[in-house]
Amino acid sequence: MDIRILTVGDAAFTIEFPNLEGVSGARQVAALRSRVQEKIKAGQLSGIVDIISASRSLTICLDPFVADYKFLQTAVATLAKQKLSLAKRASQLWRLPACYEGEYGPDLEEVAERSAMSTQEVVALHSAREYELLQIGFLPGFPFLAELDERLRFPRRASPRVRVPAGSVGIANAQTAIYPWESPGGWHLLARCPVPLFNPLWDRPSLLDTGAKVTFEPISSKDLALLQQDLSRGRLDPHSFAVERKEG
Amino acid sequence: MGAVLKILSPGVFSSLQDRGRLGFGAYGVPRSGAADPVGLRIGNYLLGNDAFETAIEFRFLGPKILIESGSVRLALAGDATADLLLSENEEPVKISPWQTVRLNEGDILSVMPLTKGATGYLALEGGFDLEHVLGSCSTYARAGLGGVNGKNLQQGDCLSARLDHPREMIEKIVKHPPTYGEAPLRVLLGPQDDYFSDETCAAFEVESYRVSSDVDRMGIRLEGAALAPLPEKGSDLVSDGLVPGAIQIPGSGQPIVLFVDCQTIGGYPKIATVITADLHHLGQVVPGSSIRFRIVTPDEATAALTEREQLVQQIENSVVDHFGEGFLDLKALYQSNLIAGVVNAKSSGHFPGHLEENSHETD
Repeated sequence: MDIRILTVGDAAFTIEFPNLEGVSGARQVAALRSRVQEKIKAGQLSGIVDIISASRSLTICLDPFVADYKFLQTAVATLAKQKLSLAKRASQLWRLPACYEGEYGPDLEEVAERSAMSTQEVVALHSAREYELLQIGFLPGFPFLAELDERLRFPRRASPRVRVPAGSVGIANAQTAIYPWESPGGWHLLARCPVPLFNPLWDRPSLLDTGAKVTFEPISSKDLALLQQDLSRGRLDPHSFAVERKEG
Repeated sequence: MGAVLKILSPGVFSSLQDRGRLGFGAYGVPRSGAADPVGLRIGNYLLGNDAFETAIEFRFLGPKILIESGSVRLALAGDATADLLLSENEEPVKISPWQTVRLNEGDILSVMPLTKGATGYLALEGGFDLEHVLGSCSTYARAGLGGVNGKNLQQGDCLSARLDHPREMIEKIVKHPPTYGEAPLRVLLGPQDDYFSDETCAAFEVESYRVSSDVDRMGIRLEGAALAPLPEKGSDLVSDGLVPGAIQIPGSGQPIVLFVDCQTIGGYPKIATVITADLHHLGQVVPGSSIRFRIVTPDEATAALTEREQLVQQIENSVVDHFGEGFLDLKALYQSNLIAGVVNAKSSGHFPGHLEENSHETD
């Protein structure tokens, strides 16, 4: 496997798979990550304080007071060049409710217009796909999901919104995502998802993990309100939106 | 029960910070932590705390704090003075920068604006009684993590101390505190220096950048000659991992130095990354000042970190007992009438020698 080793200051480096992209890149990165974690557990790599997964690269962060930068860089690069087993991928499927109605999908009409379709067709296309989670970043729990139907691909908005409400489901280029927190944002917003995606008290603070599969299930604004209520009052566990399914 | 500190006025972007939140980058959780870890360490050192014990971090202007119950000892780490208003409502006592001070129930400490730098700390002897969230007490407000209820400090917030009263000791002061010079920030090229020509990389080192007004814990926007990427590369890349200190060059060509609360991945090329030894200087960068960069080698970065640790050691070694302008001295000054003619700006009708008439005045 071709790799590039990038210097990120004196306390981090990035291993990149330059010839991979999208789902195949993310799978390779996940495989490398689990190899690195095995080696850390086995006590063979010390001084690593954090590992950031992106869609085709892994960034290893070190404690510069403890770690041997060159040794770790060589060790991780060696792992990256080996043939990595991609078999053990978690492929949990999540069926997340999304309300595409009115104020909850502020850019739906514009996207429909630009793609020369009706809003119902856009909703159907967006909710028909099973997306794969490539990376989590930008904000805690923010999932980058691929790949969007080609007919719905547009660059980010020319002027980003100052305030995107938490739960907004957006699209940009070949990806779709959910904003877990209110923040500025430039994605076109199609829907609102009531399910919280991040909680520091969960065993895994992010509801979704890389490699997870996600589909969106259109719901009415009435159901959105009911779900929001049940979720906020603890009557409904966000983890219950995971769908059991056989490996295949 | 530990002592209780009440925030009468939070100051500017005051938050609680420790070493930061490491190990959750995979879930998009920023590192956070002290903007100036050296300042935090000195504050804690003055009190005999662990080096990265959680402290109140303030930007430009510090908070005003009332001791609601118990007694505490605080250390003021940063180039700001403070007024100590004793509960019996005497003249405020001037607290010097980089010193410890003991406060009793009813006392109020009012921190003045920083005269140099952008970040100061109020550390507490024995530390604050806070819950760890994902391994850290650091505040990251956007996702409601750490601090008090996941927010920056607000008026009326109450913070509990682990101790109910401080140790008996003579107050301490740093004789040779850190200086915030104009020395260039040292960087290692990369991760995307290949997006820029050799000439552009050289210009990046020669150029002096003005610090814009857009300076916070997420990043520091600079203004200067634009750095253009190679035409065949462009300004967009497949997003990859970010660390505080990475210098990204967006389409405008104006560099942004990413900082402690920065996102974990990003899609702009990063020409270079500030070395660990100089990261704490980013916490003291003031809008309108100028910044220069110097490209170093990995070996130089390692040597610089050793040097910085020696410097911290020297600063710590310069800590001495501080009898200073203590409360007892102040009473002596009143009696000998040495400070006649000084007007208290907070109560303009208040002249020394007429304490009784103004005894109803409080803040």
